Amino acid sequence: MKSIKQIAIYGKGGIGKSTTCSNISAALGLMGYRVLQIGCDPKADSTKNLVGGRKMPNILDYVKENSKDISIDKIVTKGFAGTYCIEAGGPEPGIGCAGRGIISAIEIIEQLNLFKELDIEVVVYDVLGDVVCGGFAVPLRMGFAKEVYLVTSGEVMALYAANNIAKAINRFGQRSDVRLGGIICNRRNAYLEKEIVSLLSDKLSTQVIGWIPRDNIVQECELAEKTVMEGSPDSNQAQVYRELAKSILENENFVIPTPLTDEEFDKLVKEPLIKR
Amino acid sequence: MSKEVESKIAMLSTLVKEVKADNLNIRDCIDMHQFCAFWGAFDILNYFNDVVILVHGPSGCLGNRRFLPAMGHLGECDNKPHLSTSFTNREVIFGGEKKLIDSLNEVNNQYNPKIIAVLTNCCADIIGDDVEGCIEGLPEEIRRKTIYLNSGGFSGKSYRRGTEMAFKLLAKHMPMDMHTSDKSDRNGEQKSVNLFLRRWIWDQTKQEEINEIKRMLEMIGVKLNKIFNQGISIEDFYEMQNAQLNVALCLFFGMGLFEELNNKFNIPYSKVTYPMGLFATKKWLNEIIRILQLDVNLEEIEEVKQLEEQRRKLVNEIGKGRKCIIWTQTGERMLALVKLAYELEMDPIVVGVEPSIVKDKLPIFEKEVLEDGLDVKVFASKYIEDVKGLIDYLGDPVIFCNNNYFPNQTVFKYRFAHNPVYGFNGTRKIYQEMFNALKRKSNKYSLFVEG
Repeated sequence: MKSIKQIAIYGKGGIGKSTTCSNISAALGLMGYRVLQIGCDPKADSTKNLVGGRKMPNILDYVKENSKDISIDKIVTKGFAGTYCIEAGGPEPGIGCAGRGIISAIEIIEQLNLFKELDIEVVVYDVLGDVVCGGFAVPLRMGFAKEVYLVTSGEVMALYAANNIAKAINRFGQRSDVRLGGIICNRRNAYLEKEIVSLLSDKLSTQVIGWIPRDNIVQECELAEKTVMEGSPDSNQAQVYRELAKSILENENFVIPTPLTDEEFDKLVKEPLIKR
Repeated sequence: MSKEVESKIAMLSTLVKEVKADNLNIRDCIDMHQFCAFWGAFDILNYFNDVVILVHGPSGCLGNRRFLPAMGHLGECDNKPHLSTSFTNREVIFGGEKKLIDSLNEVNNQYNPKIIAVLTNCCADIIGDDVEGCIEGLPEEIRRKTIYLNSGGFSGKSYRRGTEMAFKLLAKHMPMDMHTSDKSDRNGEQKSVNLFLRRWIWDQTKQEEINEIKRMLEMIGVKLNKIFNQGISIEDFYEMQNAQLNVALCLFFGMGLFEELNNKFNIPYSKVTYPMGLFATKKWLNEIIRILQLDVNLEEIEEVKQLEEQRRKLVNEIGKGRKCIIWTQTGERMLALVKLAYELEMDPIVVGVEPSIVKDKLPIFEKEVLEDGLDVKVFASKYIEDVKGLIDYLGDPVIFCNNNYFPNQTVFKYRFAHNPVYGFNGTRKIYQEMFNALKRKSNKYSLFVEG
């Protein structure tokens, strides 16, 4: 059986996971891979720039309607560069259990034998903000995504979330082959950003696999409901995403991360400042 | 052998003190007190014939409660509606609030009960459905008759806490204006008490016990106001506020209700419970006499004199100071059997004491053992081989046990669930069974040993 590369992208809410995922998926699609992006977020907007801003049906809409009629063609939308797009969906804020929703959505994907049916080569999971409960760890826990990438900036809360997720990977890594593939720094031009992110990467025993510069072209493309790969394929930013996608494909540096305690983390974020 | 047996013997007071000081590494055991708050709350609300319970969450918890009590009845079906919002995966993900509102409307239309009690189970509480908010949004007609409890949330072994929560809820909704007479005008009236029955008892045995309690209360000039019994109506429950005293046959569970009635209506309750045997029955009645300031001397009652005579005969038959082994579930019944053994002037030793239940029922053990000074030897093993060793060591003990585990021994085998045990009538029956037990050895077959 053909092996499928499955990667999960985690990070703090609003850090740019969906933008990064969509551009990686688009870049891989343009390279000729059969890519599936799964948005694991109740907002259900992970793939919107791949599908031109169209409102897509999500898996949990069918669960909500108690529909027995869930089929691949009803939940999968074809996006830019031949990518396949799925949104898990979820409840409204403040009600129900979004984590349980993700579990159900993943189970349905499995039941539909979707990867095989669509002959998928790369799956990209875009997972909500933080591992707030067991549901959001499901792509790792159920053994789907073996490779995890953390998106962060140099801001403290984003770094904190990255370290937290590393704790979850560490836990699952002890009993399965889930591994951390590296950190993607989505730069916000925070003070001493490069130093702090590099330092965290060292402490987690991993690598920074990509530095994404801050560029208004990203927002411009998003306003046009496109990925950078589609809206501005010749830009420097598109080249960054292309290289990042290639690095992820070729990556062989996978580790069980060594997360920091809260005290160690506090010390870490201050260290570059003290050195300077 | 004797050294080995003796090394396993200690005093109950020592055990209770150690449990109280949290000095023991106590492992859980299986008994009903290990169950959850939802079960406890459900069991109490299910006493009422005009309260419809709606379980908010998946239906499995309801199913368990629905069938278990029915198993204890003889020839009686449980025809009450047992309802659940019956969560599926959909409600867990998206929340079950809409389903709850729809269900409440449907329950009201279909059954029009006096009270609708919503009980949440763990699933509904974990996803955090806002039950109170849902009820607040209902039309006035349904809202005023709907009560609710968040009884889920994986609260572990909390059965009794669930019963207390249910009593609190019921007391909270008890109107204050149900007094049929003003308390100040009651001096001339016959005084009355409410009765909390022992639990897990049904049918004829229960009725005989109720009749006996009524008869004894009449003997001392007291009226039975209301009984907290299966099938009680909410109106009867409200009228419990008219009694001057609450008494229980099983205080451990009754206490939750009594505390609420005491807090809200200033009705005291008797802490003397389990009137089993002559002495315990007299103590139970004397406490009522004392609290209600009645002018009654039980020793002058002919029936009491006769029972005392019977007791003396029985003591002679048994032989003063005869060793006895008590093997029963840990709790009030165990303490009652110890008292019965002392009443019959025996030298008891208790087998199979579960420290985890002592911990669960610590208020009862604290009062009886540490405050009132009831003490007894305990044998720290429940293995049949060890108990047999104890029997050999003791010689020819009388064994209080509910089944035929000991071939060729004198076994006082009294099934408490199937025989009335309380009051003077209960005492008479217990004495008779003891006489019978002394005349015959148990047969040579055992549940444990074929031989």
